Amino acid sequence: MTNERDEILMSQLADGELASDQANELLLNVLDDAAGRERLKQMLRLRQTTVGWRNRQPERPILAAVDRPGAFRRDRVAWRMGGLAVAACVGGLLVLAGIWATGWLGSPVRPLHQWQIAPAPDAPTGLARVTPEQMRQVAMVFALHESVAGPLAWYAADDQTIRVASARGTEGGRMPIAVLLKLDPMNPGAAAQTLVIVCREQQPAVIELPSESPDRSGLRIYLVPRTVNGKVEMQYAIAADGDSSQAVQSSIAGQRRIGLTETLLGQLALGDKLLNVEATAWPMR
Amino acid sequence: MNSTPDNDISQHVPRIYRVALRILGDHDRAQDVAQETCLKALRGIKKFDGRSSLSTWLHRIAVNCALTHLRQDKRQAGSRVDLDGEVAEVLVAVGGRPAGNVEQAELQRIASSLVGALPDDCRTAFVLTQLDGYDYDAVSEILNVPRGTVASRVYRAKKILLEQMNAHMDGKAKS
Repeated sequence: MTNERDEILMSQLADGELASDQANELLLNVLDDAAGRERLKQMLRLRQTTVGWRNRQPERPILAAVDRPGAFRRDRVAWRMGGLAVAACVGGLLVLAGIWATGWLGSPVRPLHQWQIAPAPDAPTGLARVTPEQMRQVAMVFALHESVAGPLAWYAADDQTIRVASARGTEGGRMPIAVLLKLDPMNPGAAAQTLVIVCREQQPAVIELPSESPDRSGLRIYLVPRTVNGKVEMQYAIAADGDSSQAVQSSIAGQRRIGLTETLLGQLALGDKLLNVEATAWPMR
Repeated sequence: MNSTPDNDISQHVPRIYRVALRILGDHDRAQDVAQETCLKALRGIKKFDGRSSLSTWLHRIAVNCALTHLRQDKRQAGSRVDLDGEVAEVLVAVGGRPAGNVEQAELQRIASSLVGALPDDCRTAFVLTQLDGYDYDAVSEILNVPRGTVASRVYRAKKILLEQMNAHMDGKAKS
């Protein structure tokens, strides 16, 4: 006959929480005790009933990306005013390619908020859809940047900055995926800003877009896209910095399946302003 | 593997996910909460003073994030089941992996329905150790009680569950 102390030990044994010497002693005690053996069996069976829960894993990988601006900047290239030579080179290539004439991107630092995604003909009112022509242009711009800078892990451009990260190892062989992030202020009349990003499938892209003007927050963007049936399933975390420090003011995170029609990722609250963050994405091969 | 904050936190992701899943009862929302927990933890890693273990600290962040989501869900039109802390309902709603045999499935179903009726202290210790997968030392930190108390509460929960499950099976055998 087992007492309560023995049963507490059995419970611990079933949970793998008993030291080996105590476990051995307990097992020796129940060897000749049928009731004890039965009780231990019940404890083990009960433990077994919940094993499915304890082993449950996220259905998709969760991104735990650390914000390390120092390390990040060491091997990443930011093309801003200081990088005019490279930008001019790319700009020249763009001119040669005739993209300038299309009036869409013009130069690599032309404000992208002027770019409007076409309304989707079969989508509910308010949704927009990327056109084949726009897809072609993003592919061309990315290819041109790669022709200058070599294989890229990612490319990101807003209306003032182009940033690229060189590919390391086999990164450059992964499928490029285009992501358009639209930051749409909910204030009437305020213009939306579009970020053009090209990153690699299943390769985390950690992109910092510091604030370039007092009326805009810096953004830190983490993306891990992958393709599923021609669509892009993307893990994302987007944080907006406060005005005067690196303190995060607002952030969103999650995972969505994204296609050519704008999908709402969430809302960033920036002071008294609210930004809808919407995305379109497509694999580039 | 290098001991960097993201690596350290990554190791706790499955448990964070299970905690969120138990509270929210929805895979996609649990994914979002796990992601959000990682982000918050990475941002606040400098504030982590090491007085508690990393798992305890992450557990608190995960629970807070999940509860925030739960409150947001409740404010939205009734598109979701109101879980309201009913662990048993969550267990039934989400379900376990397919059991190996009929008896196992039956036991699992009965255990799920009975967990919600356990006394509070026992239920918490049981859920943290048996469902979320924390060890006794971690639960001792989370609940701020001695390890022996955790062992005792887990045992009491099991005892109640076994009695009720046995009674159920006996009743079924007689009928």
